[in-house]
Formats: sequence, C-alpha cells, structure tokens
Amino acid sequence: MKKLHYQEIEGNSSKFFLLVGILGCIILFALGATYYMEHHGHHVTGMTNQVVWGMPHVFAIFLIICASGALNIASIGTVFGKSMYKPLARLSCLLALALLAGGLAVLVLDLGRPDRLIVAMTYYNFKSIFAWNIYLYTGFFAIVIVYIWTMMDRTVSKYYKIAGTTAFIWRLALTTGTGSIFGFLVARQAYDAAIMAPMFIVMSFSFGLAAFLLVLMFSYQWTERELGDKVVIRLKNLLGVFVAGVMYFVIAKHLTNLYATEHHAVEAFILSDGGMITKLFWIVQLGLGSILPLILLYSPKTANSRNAIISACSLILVGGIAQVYVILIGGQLFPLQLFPGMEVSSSFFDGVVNTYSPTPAEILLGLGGIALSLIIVTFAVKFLKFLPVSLADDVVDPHHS
Amino acid sequence: MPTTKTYLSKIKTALSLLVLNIAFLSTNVYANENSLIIPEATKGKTCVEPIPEMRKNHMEYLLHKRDLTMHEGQRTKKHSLKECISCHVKKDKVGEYISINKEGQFCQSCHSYAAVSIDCFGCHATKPDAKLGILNSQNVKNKGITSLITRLQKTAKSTDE
Amino acid sequence: MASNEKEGAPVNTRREFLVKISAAGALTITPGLFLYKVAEAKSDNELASANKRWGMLIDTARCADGCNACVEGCNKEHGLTGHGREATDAQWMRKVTVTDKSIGKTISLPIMCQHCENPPCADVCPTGASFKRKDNIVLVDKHICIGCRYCMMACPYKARSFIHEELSNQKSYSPRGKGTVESCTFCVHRVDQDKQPACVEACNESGHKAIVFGDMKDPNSELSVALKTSSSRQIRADLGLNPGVRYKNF
Ligand code: HEC
Ligand code: HEC
Ligand code: HEC
Repeated sequence: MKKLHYQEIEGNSSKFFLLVGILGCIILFALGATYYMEHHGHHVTGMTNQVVWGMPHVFAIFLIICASGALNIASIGTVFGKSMYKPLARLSCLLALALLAGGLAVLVLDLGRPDRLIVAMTYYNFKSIFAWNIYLYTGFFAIVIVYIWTMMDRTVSKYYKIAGTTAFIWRLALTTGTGSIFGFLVARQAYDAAIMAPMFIVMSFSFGLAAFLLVLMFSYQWTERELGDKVVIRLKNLLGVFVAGVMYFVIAKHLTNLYATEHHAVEAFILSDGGMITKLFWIVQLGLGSILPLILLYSPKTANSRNAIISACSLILVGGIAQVYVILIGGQLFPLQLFPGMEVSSSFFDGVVNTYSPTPAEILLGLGGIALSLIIVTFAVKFLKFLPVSLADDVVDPHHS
Repeated sequence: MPTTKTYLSKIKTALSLLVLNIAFLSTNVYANENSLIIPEATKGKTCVEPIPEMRKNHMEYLLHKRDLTMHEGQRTKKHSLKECISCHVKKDKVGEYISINKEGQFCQSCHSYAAVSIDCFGCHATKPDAKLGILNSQNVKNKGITSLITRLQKTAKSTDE
Repeated sequence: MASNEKEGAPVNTRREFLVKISAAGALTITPGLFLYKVAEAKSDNELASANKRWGMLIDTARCADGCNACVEGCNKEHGLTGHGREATDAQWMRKVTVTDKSIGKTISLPIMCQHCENPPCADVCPTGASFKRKDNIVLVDKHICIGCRYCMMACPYKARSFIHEELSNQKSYSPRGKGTVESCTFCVHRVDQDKQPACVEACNESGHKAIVFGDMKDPNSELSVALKTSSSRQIRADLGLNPGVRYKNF
C-alpha cells in the first residue's frame, strides 16, 4: 500500500515550457485586444446600445460558474466526508481560485472605465446584486485560501473541516449571486424566471467538474504521474449525473415558460426562430454539449476510455459556453416589450430583433481569461505542493483489494 | 464614505505638493525655461479662495462642488469647474479660446510638472461655450423675484447669526 | 438649507421666531404671484428638494407623426451629434411609432428616461452612480460610473446609451465622455435654473405643444392640473416603477 504524498511538479520539460509559452502568448494577445478596445472605445467591438453585454461577459460568467463548481470536489471530501475526494481537494481549490481570477479579469477589462477599479471598490450600493457579488468574490478568495492553508499546514489542520464547510456554503451563495444578476432584470423577458438561480448552481456542478477532470487528466499525463481508474471513473460518473441535471433544468425552464403566454414570443425566438441562437441551443448546447457527452460517458463501448472522457469534458465545456451565450446574448437580441401586443418601430431599434457579431478582439479577451486561469494553475503546481505524486487506485482507496 | 480612498488621495496629494513646493521655493523658478510657468488668469483680481489655498486644495473644492451639484443640485458659481475655466482660459492671436488642458495652459501647467493626470476633460468642456445658454431665455423674467428672495434669505440668515 | 431643516420644528428660540416672522411677512407683503413663485423658482444655492417631483405629460394626440422637434432639441442641447454609427450612437430621446394592429391605429410618441420612482437602474448599479435625486430626477453620476452597463440591462425603456468612443466639443453644462453610461437628465441644469427642459421648449416652438413639464407634488402646477383632469397612462405600468413621464390619449 502506498502513502499519499504531495509534490511540486518538476516543470522543466519542453511540454511545460510550450504550455506556458502558448498561454503567455494568448494572454499577451488578450491584453493587446483590451488596449485596442479601451483605446478606441467599445464601438470597435460587436457590442452596441442594444446588445450591451457581449462575448467578454459570456466568458466571464462562464468562468465564474466553473470556478464555484470546481470547488465541489474539495467540498465532497470535506463536507460529505468522502475520503476518495480528499487527495483531490487541493487541486480543486486551486482551480476554483484560478478560474475565478480569470473570469473577474475579463469582467474588469471590459468595463467602460477599467481605470476606475478603485471606485468600484470604494463606492458600494448595497441594494445592487452586483455589489454583493464583489463581496462574494473577494470572500471566496479569502476563504478558499484559508481552506488550502488548513490542508497544507499541519498546525492549523484542526480548522480544516470548518474552513471546508464555510467554503461550501459560500460557493452556493456565490453561484446564486451570479444567477441573480439575471434574476433582477425584470424587464427582460428571457431572464425573468425563478428557476435561473438553481439552474446556475447545477450548471456550475457540471462545468466545474468537467474543467477539473480535464486539468487533472492532463496534468497527470504530462507529468507522467499515475492516475488510477478509480478516481477517474468515480468523477466521470458523477459528471454524467450533473450533465443530466443541467438538461433537466433547461427543459423545465423552457416548458414552464411555454405555459405563460407572455413568454411565448421569447421562447419561440430561442427555440425556433432565433437563427444562430437557435442553432447554438439545439446543436451545440444540447446536442454536442449534453447528449453526446452523456453517450460518451455511459455507453459501454466508450465508458472506460480516457480519450472518450477527455472528449466528453471538452464538449461539456463548449456546450457550457454556448449555453451562457444563448442565455445572455439571446436574451438581449430579443426586443424589449414596451407595448405588449403592439407593433413598434423607431430609430433606436425598438421592436426589431437585434444583431450581434462578436469581433476577434472580444473573443481574444475571453480566451485570455481562460489562459490566465490555466497559467495560474500551471505555476501554482510547479511551486507549491498541490498534486499528489500518485493517484493510483491503492493510494486513493487503501481498502481497495 | 470611502475612507481608504481619501486616505490614499491624501498621500498622493502630499507627494505631488512636495514636488510643487520644491518648485515654488527654489528661487528663479519662473525665470528658468525648463521649470513651471503657470499662465495668468484672464479675468478677476483674485481667485475664488486665497491663492495659496487654491494651489494646495483646489481639487478638494472641485470634488466637493462636484458632489453638491451632481447630487443636490447646487448651482452656485463659486468653485464651479465652468467658472475656473472662464477665468483661467486664454485666447490665441485670432481671439479663439485655447483648451484649458492643452500643454502649457492653466490646468495642464502644474499637472504635467507634477506628473498629475486628471480625466475631467474627457467629459468637461475645455473652453467656455460659444454662446452662453444660461442667460439667454426665460430665466431673465424671474430675475427680479429671485433676487428679492435671495435678499430676504440673506436677511434671515444674518438675523440667525 | 439651515432654515429648511428646521421647518416644522417647534419655534423655541427668539431668534428663530424672528426668522419665521420675517419669512411669513414676506409672503404676505406680496401675495398671489409671489406665493406661486416661492413654490416654483429655485435660486442657485437652493438644493433639490423632496417636496418636488418633476414629471411630464405627453399628449400623443398633439404629438405629430414625423415631427422630430423634441429629439432634435434634445440632441442640440446636449451636443449629441453621433458618429454615423446607428447601433452605438447615443440617443437620449427617440420617437417611437406604435401600431395597434387589431384596430389599425398608429400613434407616435417620444420615449426617454421615464424618471421612475423606483428606478431599476439605480437598484442594480454597483457603485451608486445611477441614482435618484431628491426631486426624483434619475441621473448618472458619471464621476463614479465604471461603465459596467448593468443599468442598461435593467432599464425596461431602453432609455440609456453607453458612450462607445472619445468625444470632443461637449457643452459646458452637459459633460459627456467615453466609457460611461448616460441618459435623459430632464435637463437638470435647466430645471435647477427654473427653466423648462429643451425638448419641451422645442415642442412648443414647433407649435405642437404636446409636452407639459412640471412638479407633480404641487397640486396647482399645470402638470398636476392636467394629470387630474385627463386620463393618462404609464408605459409598462405592470412593472410598478411609477415613472414620472405619463402619456395622454393613448
Ligand atoms: C498651482 C499648480 C496647479 C494648477 C494651476 C492646477 N492644479 Fe490641479 N493639481 C495640482 C497638483 C500638484 C495636484 C496633485 C494633488 C494630488 O495628486 O492629489 C493637482 C490635482 C488635481 C486634481 C485631483 C487629481 C487626482 O487624481 O486626485 C484635480 C481634479 C485638479 N488638480 C484639477 C485642476 C483643474 C481643473 C485645474 C485648472 C482649473 C487645475 N487643477 C490647476 C496643481 C495644480
Ligand atoms: C473670478 C475669476 C476666477 C475664478 C472663477 C477662478 N480663478 Fe483661479 N485665479 C484667479 C486669479 C486672478 C488668480 C491669481 C493668479 C493669476 O493671476 O494667475 C488665480 C489663481 C489660481 C491658482 C494659483 C495659480 C498660481 O499661480 O499658483 C489656482 C491653482 C487656481 N486659481 C485654480 C482655480 C480653480 C480650480 C478654479 C475653479 C474652482 C478657479 N481658480 C476659479 C481667478 C479666478
Ligand atoms: C464621465 C464624464 C465626466 C468626467 C470624467 C468628469 N465629470 Fe464632472 N460632471 C459630469 C457631469 C455629467 C456633470 C453634471 C453636469 C450638470 O448636471 O450640470 C458633472 C459636473 C461636475 C461639476 C459641477 C458642475 C460644474 O461645472 O461645476 C464639477 C465641479 C465637476 N463635474 C468636476 C469634475 C472634476 C474635477 C473631474 C475630474 C476629476 C470631473 N468632473 C470629471 C461628467 C464628468
């Protein structure tokens, strides 16, 4: 029987430098894109006075959702006492922090006045869910860092359980907060649903776990450390449940909306007449992002293949971005109803379905957020003891026979 | 309100003012070509507050006035940014106003010397309006009454004191 | 200010008593006109007061299809020149054509910030830059606006614009600049000087006289009288925002 043991990765292989190099380049390009957008103003982006939140927000919200979900693995170990998850807890926390940092960076860099960040931190409107989120995010950072500390330092390990439980409760609040950003937009037909907040929580379970599995599998493959089937199979089965859960919420949301007459028009838009949005919904979000992964994860032919699991995780993440896009952009493309039941027209795009075509700069900024998250993880595992030397079956489960 | 912010800005002010004071104290500063030249005001005999006070604290007055106007609707002229410009702006040879934030102009002179950058003129006009919008219409007809009210209020205040 | 705060409090010093007497005296010396003016006029150092609620009544029967005078007046006043980019250019006010298909009736009306009593923009703004003045004018304090655009997502009337590029030649009384959100201010710089908003003036000059602006809390104002004597409606009244802009004959 082997003992659980954490060790920094060596981080001097050519693969490591290639990874850092690529991520670094993406980040540089993203910074360049940001400078370009901020220098010229937002008119060089696809965002307008009609579609006010665009691609950067899609990526930012996606990353923030992933972040809270990535913490789940640690929570399952600490809060629910599942010992198999405990060796994964450090990486889980690290990934959560990194993803949140990436998401927030994108959000901040897209502000009209990023130079006024100090204002955002010194002036609070306590009624605003956005302002609450700022607290939730900073709190998340602080709590998760303490949580990691209780795992790494024996002298404070007696606070491990408490830190883990706090982190778990906090992450639920955080995702609810993110979901509520939409909940408060009473005027926008597409967002006006109570189901939004729980749906965001399940989305976070699914996307966060998919991201975690990907990072876990790649880092063990590249460092040639052992990653046993036990962990992988357990996680991928759990992932399947979460994917099904997201699908359930999506169906429930659209079905309940179809009951209410006032929502018929917006539902028809998303589900059948929305062009790009409709395609993204059916093909990418549901087909590629939910059904195909479920098949890959559960079909006897592929269920035990690492490549199938990697593909499934990647598809889930792509589907996740599509889902956030459909919610966020789709909801803005559909015109606001100033006079329900009447036909309206104006010089300000009243009554018409808006258009949005994201520019490369916006997409680069979003990708930069992802790259930032990954580079944080890469450096952290090089310099700190985040990864167990082995996650072979007899390490993670001593009772394994 | 934002205490950290005021604290930070206090430190910043102190540092920049130190730079400026060195400039003022060193003799011949105005004669030296490379050093600070502050354009003279074009209107008024003195500033809205004593000159040393203005040098040191003009930002405080401006920010205070800004909040009062924005949130409370106070429209007095003293300390208003529009007024600073109307007294301190210069004209070029053909009689056109020169933007107050141009290199070498009043607001820019000390700021570039002390490496202060302000964003005010991204929004605020840098010259007086070509035609004054304020004086030209209905306002005039209430003038008599308004001034009567103001006088009464003044008397009331002085009785109060 | 000081005397405002004391209003309604018992008169407990001789000096205050004197002040009250002199103020009351002033009221009686010039009755009628003067009384009315005390309610309406605002001197420069007087502050916005919760005893007022500025509002508007737009008579859609008088508002002509194809007439754009109010919008032009607004654009001129605030220097909204645009950059030939429809989707990103700021529009504080716009004419909307509404057609009721079932009865085949078409009307035209201007829409701008509705100056809600419960403004969703102010509720969601993280820094408090979107706010409601005491006299219910909804404004953006552009000095603390970070350009997040959450308010634009929240506004049911699409009344707000984001500034997508650097601007120059702004009006001194209407500062505007890149990266912040803006909307109709009810021409607060004019209202504070006891003048009518630019759109109202422009509409009157065009001869349509479709807009009445005034204080909803003053029962004798032209606006209050008009609101009392005719039926008017709010756009999206179902949202419970209680906008300050009302529409008549609609
Ligand atoms: C006598 C030199 C001088 C002149 C003239 C001057 N300033 Fe300043 N100003 C300074 C200095 C020094 C600071 C730095 C204080 C600080 O950093 O807080 C400053 C700071 C400011 C700030 C605060 C900046 C910040 O970020 O905190 C504002 C606003 C400002 N000035 C506005 C103006 C305007 C408007 C004018 C023209 C009407 C003007 N100043 C003219 C010296 C000057
Ligand atoms: C009535 C006209 C008037 C107004 C309004 C006015 N100033 Fe001045 N200001 C003057 C004069 C006159 C001086 C004296 C020095 C000179 O001639 O340049 C002066 C001096 C100053 C100085 C010191 C310059 C130095 O040489 O060290 C500063 C700083 C200043 N003003 C800032 C402001 C600011 C900020 C405002 C707006 C809040 C303002 N002033 C409004 C007339 C005015
Ligand atoms: C993003 C645009 C923007 C920027 C940047 C900005 N302002 Fe303003 N400012 C405004 C608006 C809008 C008003 C309100 C005008 C009104 O209601 O008359 C205003 C009003 C003011 C007023 C009261 C009106 C007057 O003319 O006195 C002051 C003082 C003021 N600002 C000072 C400043 C100073 C100092 C800075 C730089 C530190 C600054 N502002 C930067 C938009 C801006």
